[in-house]
Amino acid sequence: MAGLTLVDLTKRYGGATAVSNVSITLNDGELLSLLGPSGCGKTTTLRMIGGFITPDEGDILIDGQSIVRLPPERRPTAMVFQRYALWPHMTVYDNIAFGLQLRNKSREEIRKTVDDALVLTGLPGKEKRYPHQLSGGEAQRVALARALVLEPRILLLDEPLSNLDAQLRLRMRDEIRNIQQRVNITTVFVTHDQEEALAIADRIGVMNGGHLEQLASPDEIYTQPATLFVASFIGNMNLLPGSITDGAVQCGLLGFAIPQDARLSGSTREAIIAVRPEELVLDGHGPYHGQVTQSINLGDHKLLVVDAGEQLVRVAVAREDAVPRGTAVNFSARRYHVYEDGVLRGTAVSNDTA
Amino acid sequence: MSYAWFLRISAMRKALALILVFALSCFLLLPLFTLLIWAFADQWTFPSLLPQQVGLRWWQWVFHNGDLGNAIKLSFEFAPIVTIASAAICLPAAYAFSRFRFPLRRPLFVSLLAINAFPKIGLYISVAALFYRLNLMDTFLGVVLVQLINTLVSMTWIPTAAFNSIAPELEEAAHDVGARGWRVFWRITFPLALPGIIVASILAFLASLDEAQGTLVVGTPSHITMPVIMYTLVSNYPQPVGAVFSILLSLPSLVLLISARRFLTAGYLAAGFRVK
Amino acid sequence: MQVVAPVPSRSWRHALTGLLLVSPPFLLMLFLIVAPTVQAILYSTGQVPTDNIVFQSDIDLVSSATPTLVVYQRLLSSPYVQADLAMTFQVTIASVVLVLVVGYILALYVRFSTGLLPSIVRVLYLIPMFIPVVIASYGLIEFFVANGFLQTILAQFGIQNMPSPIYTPWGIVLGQVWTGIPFAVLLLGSGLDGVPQELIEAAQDVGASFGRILWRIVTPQVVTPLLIVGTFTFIGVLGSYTVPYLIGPNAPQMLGVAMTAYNGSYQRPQPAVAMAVLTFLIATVAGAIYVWGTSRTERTAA
Repeated sequence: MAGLTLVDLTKRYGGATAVSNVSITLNDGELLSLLGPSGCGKTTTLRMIGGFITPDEGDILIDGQSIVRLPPERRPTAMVFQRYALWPHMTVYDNIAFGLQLRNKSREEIRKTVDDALVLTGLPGKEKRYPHQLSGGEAQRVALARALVLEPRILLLDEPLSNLDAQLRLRMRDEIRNIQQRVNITTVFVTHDQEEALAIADRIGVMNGGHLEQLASPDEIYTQPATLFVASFIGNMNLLPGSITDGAVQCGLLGFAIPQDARLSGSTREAIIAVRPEELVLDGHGPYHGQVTQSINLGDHKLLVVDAGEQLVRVAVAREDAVPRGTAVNFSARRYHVYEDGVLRGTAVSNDTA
Repeated sequence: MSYAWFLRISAMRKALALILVFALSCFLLLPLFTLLIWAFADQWTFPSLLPQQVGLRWWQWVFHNGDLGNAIKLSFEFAPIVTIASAAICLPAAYAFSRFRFPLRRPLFVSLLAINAFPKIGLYISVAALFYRLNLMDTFLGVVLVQLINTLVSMTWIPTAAFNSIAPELEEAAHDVGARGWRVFWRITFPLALPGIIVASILAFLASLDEAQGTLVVGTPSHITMPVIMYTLVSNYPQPVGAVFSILLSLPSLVLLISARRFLTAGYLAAGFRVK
Repeated sequence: MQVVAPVPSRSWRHALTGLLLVSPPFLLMLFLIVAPTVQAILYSTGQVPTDNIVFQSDIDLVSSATPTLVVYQRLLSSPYVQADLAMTFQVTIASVVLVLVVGYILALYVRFSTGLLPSIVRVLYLIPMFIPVVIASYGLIEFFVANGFLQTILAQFGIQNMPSPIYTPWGIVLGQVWTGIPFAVLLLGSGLDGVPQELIEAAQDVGASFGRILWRIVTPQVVTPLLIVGTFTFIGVLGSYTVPYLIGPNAPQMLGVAMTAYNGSYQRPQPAVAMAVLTFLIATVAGAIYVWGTSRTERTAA
């Protein structure tokens, strides 16, 4: 159990900057999810924490002590690799026990620790198996057990669920969270799957192009995306480019009032309105109108694609609402964000349609 | 997946394939089979299909002949020494080719192949000329050196492929749980590369055991190994002597082949031949 | 598990360690390949080192302060050596062609057929790899020789007086094919494995015949392996001794046999070394053709 601090972490490869000035402070027992598209620098950041990549600049502290100069074998971190990296020539037991043997523990002590880890990860009875005899989920558990028996202060998980099928992924996701909370270990979890991050994390760090775009709770990430990238990356979002005129942003035929507390820089006349489909509601008296061109059934709800003149807008409606193509509709926005220069400048919330 | 198009034309193709495979088996196996019969033939004259007299007389003769016994002994001294020397010289290089990045890595790796691009007998004659000057002719060391020539490529290339096939995460995971350099190598890297190293060692062992031309040029007259003495046996002794000796010389190959077939079929042999 | 190239290490200490570790085989190469070659060229052009009795012992020694081609002129003007050279070329080229044809047929068969028969072939073609060449040659002699096992078998069917290839140049070719098959099939096979199945299926789809698929789709993909097999077989046959010595005729001889005789029995190291250098030159030409061929196919492929 420990706190983890990243200070201005930077890594360059040749001319390209893979990770740029990433600073994060993580509390005891917290699970941070690093989220972003491939190549955003999330895995590089994780590997720098594990000691497999040396940062060009910045510092890494665990409980206030710098570990940035230590090799991986001397860091109190443990990593679960994306493809598990179980040693194929060792049994499950030996895979888990290897690190303990290196620490010269007694046989009984190792036996007991490994047994506990097998129980914790739901693997009893599998200790004599070899990795190639394991299913994906079991291999995942062994990798987790191997990391946990060493009682690391920081647990690092590199896309641990990406090799599992959809059903198993959900189960393992909950299981990892469960174990993490039981052991109460500070954890960094790298993923490209936003749903995974939203479900499992205490906080999410969204990364793009080597930068940390936003570091916040899943709720805040979803409801207050700090940058245009986060707004577009997380969840479903209508992004409507427009121009600023008289306290409003005009996006084609749709005008959005700029909220009172918005802090526009005024450097340009361009802005982007971001509004989630579920924040757009069909409303006979709504200020916007358009024509339904398509209805997409998503199971628990439907998405209507509405042609609002110059813009196509997606509006979420309930599963049972039948709105045929060609229907003319009026709608209003309950909540929307104004972005200028790619940064969130203000959020408008209207109360009348609540 | 179906390759039926190859055979679809008619049943004729099948018959043709059968005949071709039969012809191939005859071509490859019957010469060896001939020697097998000769080894147990006390008397066998044309045109009798089988020997008129069968027996083990020539086996006794071979086992009681001092020259042949010495050749066998010498061969089995050279083979393990050459294998170990080759491994000591090439395995660190194979590891470095796989795990280190240094200038000229790729060109150096490929240039090893130049060894095989030399017409062998010409090379041995030239090596002999150099060995005359260095007083290495007809010495144990000289023969070991000349036999090493044929092991360098496979002893470097096959283990390099074996090291390359180990995912780096497996080593990283060992570092992660606290293992340092040598420990990671001995506990993780080496065992995982072992099948490839075994295949390369078997090939080196057999290359040394079967090497005749270089040993003949550099090692005569006092370093006569089994294959070298075969030259004399073939021309100066009755057929059964050569045949018995052929079987003795093939036995190690056979034993090694059978005991290591698990590794040989695992694609390491082909990996050593993959040029790209 | 998918294989990822190892993470490059950037430090110069790593580079130095790497170079240090790879140096032993190259030092050995320098000693066993480069040094002998250089010395062979010097010796055969008359630069005779004075410190060696064996070098000086050549009865007809050519010694000169400046490089001279006298040894080569004498060698190449000898009708015996001319005959040896001619036969060496004939045997080598015939062997290369036959190894390529037989090897390619086998590789194609193993790649594109399924069932018991090809899996037998898959084991069969590897056998010569594990049989010492001396034994293979001896077996081939005893099988194909006049009144040998083959003629014995044929005699049972009343076929008699078939000429035997043993102690003729064709016997050498036979031996070279026997010993050359494993390398050829392994290499061509790994080349054929790289031909995507979709390419063939797409061609079948548009109705291409077997011959057309083979010639237009498959073969262009394995030009490089074919060139490699051709070149290495050429060099291998050129530098062979055991097969031509045991199976071949007494005269003319292949160059490998001739140079060994000059070096040993005739006590003529200088012309022996000159013949060795000649084979190096021929091999260099073959190597150059190979490099030219591969770069050409790579250009047309690009």
